[in-house]
Amino acid sequence: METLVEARGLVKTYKRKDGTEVQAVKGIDLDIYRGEIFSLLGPNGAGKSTTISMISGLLTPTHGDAKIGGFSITRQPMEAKKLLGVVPQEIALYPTLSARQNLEFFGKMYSMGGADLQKRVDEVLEFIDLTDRAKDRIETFSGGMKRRVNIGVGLLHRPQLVYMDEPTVGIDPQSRRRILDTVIRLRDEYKMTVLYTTHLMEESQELSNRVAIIDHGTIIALGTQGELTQQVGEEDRLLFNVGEQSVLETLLKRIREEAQGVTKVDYAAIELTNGDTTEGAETDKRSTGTVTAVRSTQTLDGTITVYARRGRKALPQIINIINDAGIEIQSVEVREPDLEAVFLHLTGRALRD
Amino acid sequence: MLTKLWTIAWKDIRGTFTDRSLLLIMIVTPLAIATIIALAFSQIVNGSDSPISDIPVALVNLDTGAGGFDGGQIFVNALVPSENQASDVTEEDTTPEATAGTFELGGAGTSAVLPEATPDPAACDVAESTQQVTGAEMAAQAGNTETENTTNTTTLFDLTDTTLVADAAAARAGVEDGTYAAAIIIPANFSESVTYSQAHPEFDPVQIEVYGDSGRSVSPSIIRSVVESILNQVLTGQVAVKSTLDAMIARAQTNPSFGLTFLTANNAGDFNPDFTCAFDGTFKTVGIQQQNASGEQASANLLVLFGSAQATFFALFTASGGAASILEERRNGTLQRMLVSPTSRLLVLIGKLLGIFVMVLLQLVFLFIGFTLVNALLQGEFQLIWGTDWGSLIILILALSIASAGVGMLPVALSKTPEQSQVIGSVVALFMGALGGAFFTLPSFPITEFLEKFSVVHWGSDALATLSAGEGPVWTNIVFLLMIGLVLFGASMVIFNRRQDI
Repeated sequence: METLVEARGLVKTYKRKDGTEVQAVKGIDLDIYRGEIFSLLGPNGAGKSTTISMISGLLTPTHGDAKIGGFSITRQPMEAKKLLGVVPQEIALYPTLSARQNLEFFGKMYSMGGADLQKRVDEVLEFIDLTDRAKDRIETFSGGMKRRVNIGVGLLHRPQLVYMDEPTVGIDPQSRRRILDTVIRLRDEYKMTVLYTTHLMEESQELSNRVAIIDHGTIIALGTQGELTQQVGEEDRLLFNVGEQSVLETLLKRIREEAQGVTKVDYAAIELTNGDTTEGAETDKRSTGTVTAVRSTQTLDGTITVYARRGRKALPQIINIINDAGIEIQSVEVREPDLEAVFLHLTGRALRD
Repeated sequence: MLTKLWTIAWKDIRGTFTDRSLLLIMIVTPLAIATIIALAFSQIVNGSDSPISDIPVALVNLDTGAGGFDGGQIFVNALVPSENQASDVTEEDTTPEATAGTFELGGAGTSAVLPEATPDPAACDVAESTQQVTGAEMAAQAGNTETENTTNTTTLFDLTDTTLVADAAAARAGVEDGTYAAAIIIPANFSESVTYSQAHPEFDPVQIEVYGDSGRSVSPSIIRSVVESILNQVLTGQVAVKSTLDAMIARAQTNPSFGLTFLTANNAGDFNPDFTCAFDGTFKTVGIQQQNASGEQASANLLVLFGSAQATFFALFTASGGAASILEERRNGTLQRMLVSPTSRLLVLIGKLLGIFVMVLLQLVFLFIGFTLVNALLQGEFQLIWGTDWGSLIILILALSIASAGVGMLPVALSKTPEQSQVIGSVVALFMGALGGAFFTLPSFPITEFLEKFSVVHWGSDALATLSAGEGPVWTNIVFLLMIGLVLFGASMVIFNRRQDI
């Protein structure tokens, strides 16, 4: 595979007001292949933005270098930046200018002009499906439309690498779906390379060819999703919905001891307080055997959660044990290990902590 | 590169000049403020031809004279009409003879006699020499072309309502209780200090006190200017006498024939040179036209005075607001978006500076046109109130725009947020406005005179007033404005360069 982005030993050190130094990024090595969607995952303050800022030339690395298409971002920044399109998390547009004027303005920043610029603006407006609103001011657009123009600006000069920073934050599910489809089209139809950051595991899992997990300024895991979950050896999660039926500790103990590969069993249920309909009167009553508290106040269901290696193989056994206890299973869900679980396994805390 | 520069600048210019509220602040507000202040001071609304007139003044002449010369009387003649003198101070002799006297020429007993009677108008080779040294004539001769009928021209007699007062303390008390706007107190040794003789060949420092009412900001200043003008005229006359007599004595010493004739004529009483014209205003070097406050001139000058100060003051606000857009763009992410494009940080900053420069330039041009139109509306005729030195005016406006842009950039370089920058920018603009006289005339102290040299408003409004009066080049002002602009922009760039976030 051809490497488009190559980062070596990226370090960024800041000086605090008291004179002490803090390393936001501690020597990152990274390769992004041409034509892939590469996700960078990490909690807030992990060094994700600093790394991206150094790769895109906004920050100068304290040590190390990054190359885009073979051009060093520190020594040949103008050449490297020509290959990069940026879609920031915030709506980085001029609200009093129209969609077309915004596209034209940023197009000129990439030295585009004349008929070529106008043609490209038309193409981008069509791509983001806003041709009919081209002359309207950005301030009159909905959140989703602004996001689309925000993406359009990043694509205007036909970059080889598009960096997208959480582009689906704060928009409705329909617009989100549209943006995710756009990202996939950029890779599949336009053969662009996408560097994508998000805090939503589902997005990363759906989109990414490869994922890097970053924490405390260091990449702690890098690979395809399968490689990462294999790497940490995480179990499957089996969720058995039993509704309002009573679950005894003896049942949980039996599953734990008799089913193959089971490491842990939890039970949790929520029910509404009868007779009080005022807001905030909901309380949770936990039944026996719970390990993990369930905070949801929207369900009335009880759920048995079983953690097991090769969970699908253990599934028939567990169903039999529950049925033997006279409990009718209402639904079963098998959850394979995800990136959230990988992060939890590697750092001991949830990604959103 | 130039396309990018202009793209960045034009985006800001377009945004500013399509925002009605900004236009209101940039153009309408300074026009309105300066016009209102000018109207308030000039009372043009009343249609008066002499909006500043009859300033109540107390004149205390303690001068005892010297060798027959009575300098204090020149002030009396200039400021008090003869009938007023006659009625108010009977002991004062207001005839031309009062200014006559002898000048001692040395130990030889030779003396030159100033005329005891009406002087010969031709004696000084000046066609319009007059018999009586009066403020009316001085004002008329100072540049008013309509001097044939002085009764139709605003004169010092119209400008002031001067009362002779015998006691300095009483005059000061009159100022304090509001009877007078100012008191002029001529010291007893005034004539002695400024009289020339061989025994007293140098003029001594002497002070004429102008005791002003601090509650009246304009009138005491006018009176002070009047006193300075008359004083200059007296000194000019004395210098003329000194020069003439020095030349004659020198010639007498080197030319025995002339010396003998000169001595003989003097002993016989035939040497009777007429020096009256030296004091009559014809030879004066300092005009008092500015005190000849006719309605038209006063209103135009006030509009220029306040208009230039307000224009430069508001230009600083425009520059400050324009520069703050750098921080606003950083907050909105558009600055970063420009910086991740193949556009250098320096280019972005210069583009922003260019935008500010053009915005201020257009604002000043619109304001100066606006003030000219306002003046035309008020006066009923079109006048070029900013003078006719177009070259200097254009260069001055360019320099003012550069200076304002530089002043606007520094607060941004020092601030983290647009709000912080706006506050610092406003403080700087107010400070410069106060030093430059945008709100009031600062008292003249060494510290204010030093600080005003750092004020764009001071240099700008001073240059504009100078050009308006047709008083020639303003290169010093232009150089200072350019220095302020370039130094502050350079400092801003150094600070920006050290910042990681811009």
